Amino acid sequence: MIPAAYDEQFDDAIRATFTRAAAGLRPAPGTAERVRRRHRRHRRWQAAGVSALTAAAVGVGVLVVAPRSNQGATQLTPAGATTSSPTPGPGPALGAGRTLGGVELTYLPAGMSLAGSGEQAYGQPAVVEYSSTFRGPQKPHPHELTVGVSWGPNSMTLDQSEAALRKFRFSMTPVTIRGHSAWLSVLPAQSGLMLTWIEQPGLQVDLRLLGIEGSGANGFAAARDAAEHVAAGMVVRGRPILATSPAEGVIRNAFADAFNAGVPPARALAAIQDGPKIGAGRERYLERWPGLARSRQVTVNLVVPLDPTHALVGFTENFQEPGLAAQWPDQITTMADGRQTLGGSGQAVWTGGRWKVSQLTYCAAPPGVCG
Amino acid sequence: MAGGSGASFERFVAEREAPLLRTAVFLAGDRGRGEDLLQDVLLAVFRRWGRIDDPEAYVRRALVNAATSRWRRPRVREEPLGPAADRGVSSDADRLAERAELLAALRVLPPRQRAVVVLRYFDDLSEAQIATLLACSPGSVKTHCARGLKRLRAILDTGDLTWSEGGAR
Repeated sequence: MIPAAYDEQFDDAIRATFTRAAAGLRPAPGTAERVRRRHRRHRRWQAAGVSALTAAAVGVGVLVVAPRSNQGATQLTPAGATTSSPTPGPGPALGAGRTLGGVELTYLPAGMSLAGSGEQAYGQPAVVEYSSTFRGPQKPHPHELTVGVSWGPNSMTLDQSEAALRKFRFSMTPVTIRGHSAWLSVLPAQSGLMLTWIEQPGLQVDLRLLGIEGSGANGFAAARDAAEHVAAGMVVRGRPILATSPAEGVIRNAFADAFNAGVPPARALAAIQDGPKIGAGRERYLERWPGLARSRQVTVNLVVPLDPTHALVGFTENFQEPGLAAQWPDQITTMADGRQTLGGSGQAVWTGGRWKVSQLTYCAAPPGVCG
Repeated sequence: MAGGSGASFERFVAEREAPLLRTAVFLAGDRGRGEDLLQDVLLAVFRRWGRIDDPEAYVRRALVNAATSRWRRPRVREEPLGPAADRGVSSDADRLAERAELLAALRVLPPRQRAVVVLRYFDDLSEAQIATLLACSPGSVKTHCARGLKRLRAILDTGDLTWSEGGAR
């Protein structure tokens, strides 16, 4: 039982932490005006009798840009439109987040704007995933569309994706998207849907639409329709060429020092951000899992610089510790030879005058290793 | 401040947006999501402005409801921290790094534990006030608070985002 006095100290400390963390969190100007504008847009849609998602089907307030035809992409025409179909060719510049991983999103449902984007690398062979998330103004739940474009080995198959999706116990239906076999996954309570397919060798696309709970059967059908329109409007330009990092060798060495068996503890901790803070927990963990401590080897598959002090790192750990696989079956796989493997995506950070494995990355691979 | 004219909505936003944004960011565990959360709620407030007696309480209740009901994605993306503190950079970088650490730790808590910890230790609400916001008993608030705080302390002490009671030890 922790003494009450110690509790009070932590209470004060956490309050102070919140206060310091809140300092500098300031809203952008013009919030009230933005709220008014969103309210006016909503009233216009209500007057038109359509939601933002079905606007795609009747051509209300939607800019439709025809994809280039040389990729075999479907030309997009609003249903029931009386004007001629858009002709292939260069369209207007796409907005923020609509070019990702060499794929252009030439169509988005009306009212959606970029909420975030990012990339991660994982697996061996390496897979780099680029994603953009867009949000709409719908109520009670804003619709949220996330497009993920993953480039990996040409041997990637839809069966592998299916196996990964089935772990989430979604309701899954085989469908056809852009002429390819695909999976339509429906989230519980029809709160969202996801389309997954292999667009070409080495390219998997995931398209997820959330926030549609409570919209009923018609709303779900409209959401599916909108998602398929987004898919139809994609144009694949090609696999991105990754920038190489001049520090790549140094980062690889840092990962090797941090993770590999046989490295003296002081050197391992020196290769981890704030390593001394996790030293005791790391030692206890490795004592508990001696197979991991004896055998772990890391392979860095990919280093992608993000900025001068951060780099995205895709890596794979191999070790012999079956008990860990039983504890973390979603993260750790047992291979045919009985060894375990764990694929990770994390970061290297420049700190203390050198490149190190970020503490968040180290402490998650495997989970609990710092405790 | 009671609801009323459009001008008073502007005044309400001008006076209360900053502290409400901070609560929203902590409740959401992420700056971007917190901003979205607050703007969604302010839109709802604007539509009902003339009928709301206590806009601040309404916003707080709506923030908590929205933050505790959102579906969380299975994969969490690591967010880069600011420049490393031990390179001798400014205190702004230290604060950014501390905020990122706190938000990462908050994200690990289940939504109701996170809400109780934020409302108790940042907004300084009483157990009774929190119980009203969450529509639960003061006893439940006490339990959520104790568990959330224990987990938060362990995560912040060890940097282990996977720490949980009875977990891998």
